[in-house]
Amino acid sequence: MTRSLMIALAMLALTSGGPAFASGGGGGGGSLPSSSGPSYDPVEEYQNGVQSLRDSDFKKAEKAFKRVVRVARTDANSHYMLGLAHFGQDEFKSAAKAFAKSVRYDATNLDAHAMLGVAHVKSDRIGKADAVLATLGELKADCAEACSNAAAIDKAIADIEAAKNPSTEATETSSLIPAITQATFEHGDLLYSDAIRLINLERYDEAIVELKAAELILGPHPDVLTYLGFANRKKGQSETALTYYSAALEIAPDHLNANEYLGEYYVEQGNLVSAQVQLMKLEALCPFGCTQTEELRAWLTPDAA
Amino acid sequence: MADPRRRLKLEFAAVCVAVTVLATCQSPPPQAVSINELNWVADGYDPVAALTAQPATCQAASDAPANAAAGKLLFHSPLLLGGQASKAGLSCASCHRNGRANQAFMFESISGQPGTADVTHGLFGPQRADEINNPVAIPDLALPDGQIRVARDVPGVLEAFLQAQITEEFGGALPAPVTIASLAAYIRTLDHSACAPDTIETRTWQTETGMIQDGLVQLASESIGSTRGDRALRLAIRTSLGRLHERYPQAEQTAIRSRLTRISQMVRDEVQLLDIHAELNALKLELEQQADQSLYNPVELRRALLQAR
Repeated sequence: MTRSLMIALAMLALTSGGPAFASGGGGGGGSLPSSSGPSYDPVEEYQNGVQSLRDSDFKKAEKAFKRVVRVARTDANSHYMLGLAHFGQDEFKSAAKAFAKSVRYDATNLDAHAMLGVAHVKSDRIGKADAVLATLGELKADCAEACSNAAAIDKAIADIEAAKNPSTEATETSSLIPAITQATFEHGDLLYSDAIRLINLERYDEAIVELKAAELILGPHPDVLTYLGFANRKKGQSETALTYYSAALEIAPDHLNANEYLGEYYVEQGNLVSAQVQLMKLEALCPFGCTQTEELRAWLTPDAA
Repeated sequence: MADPRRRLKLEFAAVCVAVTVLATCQSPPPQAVSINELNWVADGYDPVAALTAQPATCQAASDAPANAAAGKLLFHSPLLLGGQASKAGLSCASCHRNGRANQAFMFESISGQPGTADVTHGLFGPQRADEINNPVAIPDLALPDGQIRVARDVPGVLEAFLQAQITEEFGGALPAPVTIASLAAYIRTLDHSACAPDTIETRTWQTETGMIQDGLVQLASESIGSTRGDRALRLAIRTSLGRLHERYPQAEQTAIRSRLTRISQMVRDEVQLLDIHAELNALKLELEQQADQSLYNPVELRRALLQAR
């Protein structure tokens, strides 16, 4: 089987059986909380939350995602999920708050923009909904028609406009929540592995799409977050990269790759003192040596490499 | 469903967690079984057998015995490889256990059947990446089939092959010539006629300390001749110490772990080799005293694995 077919099947498993809820998402990942982390696993909580959303048990989903964002505070995807849980309970102000955080941590999450606008409409805050529309209008103008996000932006705008002009027939609120379909951990693994391959090939945009798809399945996994940061950094999106690195380290402070890449980020920013701190941290984390330490050392002392 | 500990294994080795369903690294010492190699044991294979025994050593005499001995140590060093393989803790020996094959090897996305690997998967590096899922059987480097893949007798051919493996297949940095020469010397010794190839041998703490000792001897040798070669060897020694550390996780083995850490720091800081040897000798006594309680003991390992579940 060709690798592209395997990935296509994984993506299909993620999106089949209903309208895709993918495409958005911010920092995800998680599962490996550090020894200083919480006494629960944010990835497991994420999985529980997704299952509860599937079961339309929004209260239970809210509880799960609140536990997730308590650890993964800057994880856009988890805030988005929390927003859906509130939305399903007709808690539109709370939903808008969560969607706003999702957008703040990942401005490219067009699903979150759309749901933010709809939540504002539902809570009779038309002015705020119009502000979201204006933001989307700006994104559309920046994007132009050839942009790969053009259709998604149009859809987000259309969703908000539709909410502003409801048909006479009453619509069940929960039906507005995007369908969440079953996908297995294996699909997430496959997407993640392939994303690393794409990163190695310097195909960063494609890698980000797959990492975000993996994140939707796996939840806030620090491996996924770290490589979302890495791919964004390589694209020149240094602030986005920092957000992802920070999100990964919130969940797993001792994550080797996240610590290494954060150090590289500091070198790129000219902040050699912070980079040196990262190197010292890696030295402590790897008493028997590790690649991450050596790679960051090479960034700091390239002549010695 | 696949074993959950295999998920996202690229980084997990480094990130131990409090409570996790994806737990690929386990709870902290003393009860932990945090042996990196465990991650590459396929479902259906006995992890205890995989971690406490290995294919028999099949080594013929070498023209350059010191180099070959150091090469064996380097063969076990993940830091020789680059990119994701290195970050995951894979070394040459992960696939070629004791220079042989590894029928239990499994790396999600890279392997097909156990004992296979897709060496042109772009996850390891871009240079040899293709778009085809084409895992191949890992060859036993001591058997004729493994020996004939590269002309070992032609000077420079094996060296060029190894260099390309490291830099192209795994995206690693260019190794020092002495590093490649050592690896090549080791691989040239691998020969089925030097042993009963179908037999296995027990793995012990001496397996590691022997390699460490050989690495220290090579460090003392003038033939090392380069900073890069010296660094690769020091890192190989340190990772070997780390593997010993994994096997002595019990509370009563704290002193051993402390000494292992101390020796690693001494190697890193280029302390006098005589002092390192002295520490290593003291360590050996402690390792021997605790050998039965270590995870080299199959009974202890099985018990610890059951406990970890």
